[in-house]
Amino acid sequence: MPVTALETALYNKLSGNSALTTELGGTLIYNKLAPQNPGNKYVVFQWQGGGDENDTPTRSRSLLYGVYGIATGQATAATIDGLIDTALHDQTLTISGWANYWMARETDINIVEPNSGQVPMYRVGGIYRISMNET
Amino acid sequence: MSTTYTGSGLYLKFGSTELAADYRSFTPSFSIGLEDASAGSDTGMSRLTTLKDGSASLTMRAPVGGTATSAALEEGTEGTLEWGPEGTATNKPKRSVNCFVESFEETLAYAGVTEWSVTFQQSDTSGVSKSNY
Repeated sequence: MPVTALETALYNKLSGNSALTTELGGTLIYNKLAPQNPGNKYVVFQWQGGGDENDTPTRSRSLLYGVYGIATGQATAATIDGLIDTALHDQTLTISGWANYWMARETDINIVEPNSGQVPMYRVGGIYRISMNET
Repeated sequence: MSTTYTGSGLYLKFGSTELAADYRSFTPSFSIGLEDASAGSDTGMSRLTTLKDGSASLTMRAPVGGTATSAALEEGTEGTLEWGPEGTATNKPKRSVNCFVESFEETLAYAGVTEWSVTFQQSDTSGVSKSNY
């Protein structure tokens, strides 16, 4: 399964976006789980669903990834989300051994949850469909 | 031992172009003409066979830059359509028939995989040849 290749490609796409890393103040982009006390604003992406399509002998996969801007204020989280959207929606990932032929935002997410210090952290982002076939 | 099978093992070739890698479905349909041979005091229909005929339809994912494949499937192209429903292992069934490409349709959807739909029409005085690999 190309999970590592895909998540590496997704990380590279986000961390290579200078507007996003400038807004974050660095490559504060984490796969699935941010470290403790990551700061006031950062990005988390994580697998949400999907898998093999099994509709032709040539293997293809269609996956859903949630990518979120997380910040102590909704406006900042929304700004980060906008930069993520620019970096990902209708763009292409470079995935080792696979060709990414479709990547688009499908669902919006906007929630708030307290961090370990009971500080409300706003999570604004989207779920992106990433479709690819084996090369 | 399984007593049933899916289409996943299909071997499919038209002319010299193998098509199996990107197919989604393949539906060959062949039949024979029947003429009414009943007469007189017959109380039931009887029939005589006439000519065999048939066609096959294929839907497949369009390969990126697949100019050679699309050229092979251009309308009016003649060739031998060969298929093995269970692949090409020894003693598995092999079917073939000379055909023309009658139609080629390309479906382009903004958020969908581009798909080709092809109809093959038999042009073969013997009909479908059935043998084994």
